[in-house]
Amino acid sequence: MSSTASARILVVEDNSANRALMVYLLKAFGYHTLEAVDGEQGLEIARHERPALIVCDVQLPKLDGYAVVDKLKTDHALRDIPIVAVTAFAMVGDRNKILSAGFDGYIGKPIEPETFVAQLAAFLPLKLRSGREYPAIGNSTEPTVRSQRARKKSAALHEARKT
Amino acid sequence: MFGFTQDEAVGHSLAELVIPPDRVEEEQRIRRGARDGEVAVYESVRRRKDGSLMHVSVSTKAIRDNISHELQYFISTKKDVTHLKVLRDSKLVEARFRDLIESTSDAIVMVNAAGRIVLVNSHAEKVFGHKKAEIMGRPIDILLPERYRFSGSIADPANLFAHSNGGPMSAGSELYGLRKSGEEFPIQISLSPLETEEGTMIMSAIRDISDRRKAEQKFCGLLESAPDAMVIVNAACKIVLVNSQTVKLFGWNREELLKQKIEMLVPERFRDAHPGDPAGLFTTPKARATDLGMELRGLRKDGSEFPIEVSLNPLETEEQLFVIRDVTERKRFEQTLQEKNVEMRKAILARDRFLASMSHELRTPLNAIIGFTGTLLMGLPGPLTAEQKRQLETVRSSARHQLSLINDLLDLAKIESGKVELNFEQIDCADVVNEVADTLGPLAIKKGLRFEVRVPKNIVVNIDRRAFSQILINLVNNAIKFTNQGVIRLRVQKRNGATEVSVTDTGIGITREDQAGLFDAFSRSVSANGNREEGSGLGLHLSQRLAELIGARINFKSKRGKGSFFAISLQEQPA
Repeated sequence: MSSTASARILVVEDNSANRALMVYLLKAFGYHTLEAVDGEQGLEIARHERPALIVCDVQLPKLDGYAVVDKLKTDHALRDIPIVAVTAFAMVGDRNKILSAGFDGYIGKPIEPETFVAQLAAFLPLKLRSGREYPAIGNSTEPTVRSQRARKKSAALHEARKT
Repeated sequence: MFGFTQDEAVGHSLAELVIPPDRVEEEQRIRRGARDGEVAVYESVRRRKDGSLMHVSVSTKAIRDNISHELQYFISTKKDVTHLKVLRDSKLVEARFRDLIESTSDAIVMVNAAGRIVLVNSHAEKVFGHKKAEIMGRPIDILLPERYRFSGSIADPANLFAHSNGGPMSAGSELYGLRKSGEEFPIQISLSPLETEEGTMIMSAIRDISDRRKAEQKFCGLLESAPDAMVIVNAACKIVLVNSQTVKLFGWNREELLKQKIEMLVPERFRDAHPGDPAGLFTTPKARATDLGMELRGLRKDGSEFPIEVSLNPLETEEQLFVIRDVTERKRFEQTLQEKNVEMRKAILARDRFLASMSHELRTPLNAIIGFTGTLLMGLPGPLTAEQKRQLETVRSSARHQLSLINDLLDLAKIESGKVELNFEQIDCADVVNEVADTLGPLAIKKGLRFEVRVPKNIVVNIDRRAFSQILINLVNNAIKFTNQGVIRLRVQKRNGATEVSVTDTGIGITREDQAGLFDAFSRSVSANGNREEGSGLGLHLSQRLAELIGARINFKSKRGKGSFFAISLQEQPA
């Protein structure tokens, strides 16, 4: 399977270091990524880009993860996109609380870099998985590949936000 | 006979001296008769100088002037027949009433118009201690204490007759009888007039109410000694009795309270809801909506209100006893307690929130540290030298150590605050033990240790899975950490009705000194490689606390240099 056929995954995370970590890992395993720094932006990108999977922090500015999952799951167009919580809320009961809020999966922080991507891939249909069992070594400088359409929409969004 | 000297008597009219007021008319009537006829002979009552009465036989003759036939004077011969009269009366009433008066439980004393005792029943003999013969014909005075004699009380026959309407005399005023021994005792007297051919007599039914008085005193003593206000109301809801606590509590004095409606003790708004229903007034206070809740309040004389609690007891006498308790202090206490509770709940909530954000904030940077250390070690950005790899391993293990510290501390905080949610379920021990063995076994093997697991299937326990699993992980981790060579054995077996899950190692063991404080927080043994810093120092402490929570016990045996044995003992629990 070529890397261009693999899925686009939206990462919603306000902490830049953690966002960078997840994006880096996903790319290393051959996925395309979209990034959002808060819940509102995450939803906007989800609406316009229809990612194959959303990785979402819970404690977020503007709209938190619970609000994001609520809006996502009540939107007919978006409800089928799997959304996995990656959160530092990792005390007893947090997992159940988060899963019952509508998230399809839960991964507690700190993540295990060796298994993180495999855990996420389980939420993707087989044909969208990168098929890369081992990460590409030393190729992380490769730019994010986006479809023309996605790039245009993203740019338009960017413009819209400026005004 | 009458006790007057000649000097005292001459010049006074008879009526002034010896004729009792109620006999004056009779005397005049007789004299009118004697004026026309010859000699009038009759019996009547006369008074001595000392005031006592006597029966006299009187013969009165009108003396007229022989010529003019004008009435000149009356000659009146009087003979004291008191005793004769008593005997006569006695005979009469005895014959007529003896059987009747013997059958009553009261002491019966009959007196004739002169106040002389003409008949007593045996009960009266017993009560007063006099033999019948001793008091027959004596004035009734001798049955009364000195202070009542001639004092306008019943000893005065005039009074006697005035009172003799059949009702009891003692209501309101206290009467006492006098025994022969000189002892006084409280009595109740009912007087009834008896019309006989020998004149009117009085029958007194006398009841010794010593016992009743004692009972009353006991009752009053009880009322007074109670810490609560006690109010007795009659059928018309009027107050008939209060204790001094009532006076103290409401500020009204006794006189102001008696005969008033009891509703005066509650505020207006309570009265409206229960017109004429004092029971409802207190038991189902239905104040108007504007009122503070449904709480019943009392009203003092000064208009101030205070919270009360009332219990209501119907008495056998158609009266009702209200026991009213001032609950101001208790309400204040409850209020304070409630405020404290609210504060405490707020504090707990704040602490829980603090714990949660603490957990979140401490983990967030660790995610990037452990994550990027991992990507480096995975060689994602490029190959590493051996030294780079070794140093990065140190970074990662330190970060993981910090993570376990955070986890343990937060877990401990949760246990301390009672926030651990336990979920007891039927679990096959083997499932949990195998799961832990699968996770940690590779670590032991990597360290060159043998790892033996002997777990029979179908040993089911009722337990919180997570807590059980966490304790076991802690114990196995410790065993691996403190063992450099040999074997680690994981075993499940039944022992004395309990299920025992044990971890045995051939490690360095624990010194006798260290064993004493083994389960204390931050007590750390020197690890297998002589390094004291490994572990959070909370593992066993946490395990112990978790074991307490799930009703399990951790036992251990250890010998320095030989190894350790730790066992989780799970009591058999009814499913």
